[in-house]
Amino acid sequence: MRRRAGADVVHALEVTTGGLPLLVPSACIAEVAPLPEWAPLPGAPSWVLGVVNWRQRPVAVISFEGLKGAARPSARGARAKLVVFYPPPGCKPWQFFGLLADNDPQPRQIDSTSTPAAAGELPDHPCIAGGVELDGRALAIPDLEALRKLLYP
Amino acid sequence: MTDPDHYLRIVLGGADCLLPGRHFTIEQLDTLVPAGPAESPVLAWRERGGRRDPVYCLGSDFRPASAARGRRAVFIEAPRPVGLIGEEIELLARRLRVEPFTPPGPPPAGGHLFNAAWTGGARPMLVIDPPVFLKYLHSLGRE
Repeated sequence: MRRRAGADVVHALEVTTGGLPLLVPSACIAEVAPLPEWAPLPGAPSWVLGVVNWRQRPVAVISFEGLKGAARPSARGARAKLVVFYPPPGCKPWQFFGLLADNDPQPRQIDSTSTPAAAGELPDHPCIAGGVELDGRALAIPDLEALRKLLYP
Repeated sequence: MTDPDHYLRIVLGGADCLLPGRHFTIEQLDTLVPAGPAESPVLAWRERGGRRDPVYCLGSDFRPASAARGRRAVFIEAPRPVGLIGEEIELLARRLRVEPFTPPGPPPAGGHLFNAAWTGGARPMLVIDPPVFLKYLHSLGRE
């Protein structure tokens, strides 16, 4: 993808979760790691898959598709990864959270010349703010404020 | 109740949990009085000094289970003691360093049941918030 000189470039990762490609600003992501064993979290909403040890911290792992009521993934794929997000603005410093990714996230770049995705190309999901067209595909951009409200109301 | 140097490890509904404090009593189930069907979700009672303390067993969702999974119960010795049947129960004699943790999602009416986790093993062990947990267990008897 050719970029116009001087355009503000945003570095991002394409994170595919439950078959849905998300475009997440790299600045929001603390680490992409192999998926460790998770412990169950009793009483949690169905979209919480469990809690893992990440760098000596307990981190809850969520299912993005589960947030819109889809069934929990019954098994983790062999290529699944843990994408750890920094605590959203306004949260406690330990409130990292993890997203289950189908495979290794891929680096992407967008800028002011990137084409917004048409609404019809994006799934109906409470935590999607919009999307962009990249390489002929629509990538959904998560609404981090909506995620924060769901995770840490 | 809140001495952070003392923990009891208890497996509840498949979840490995830590209960901080030192005011616990562990009883064998066969020393308890089985509850009748009409007394559900109480599974048994500890009769002591003219008082009856309820005993519950929790499932994987931390809702009361209808059958005991385990052979021992832990009593949290509070002004209104409550017993809990654990699949595994172990008093830990070592100090543990725990990290703060907030379960995601809206908290239940009385607050989140967990407020920390121990991360020294392959999987985290959730630390129960005793006052919130006691309040939750007491609420089961009013259902």
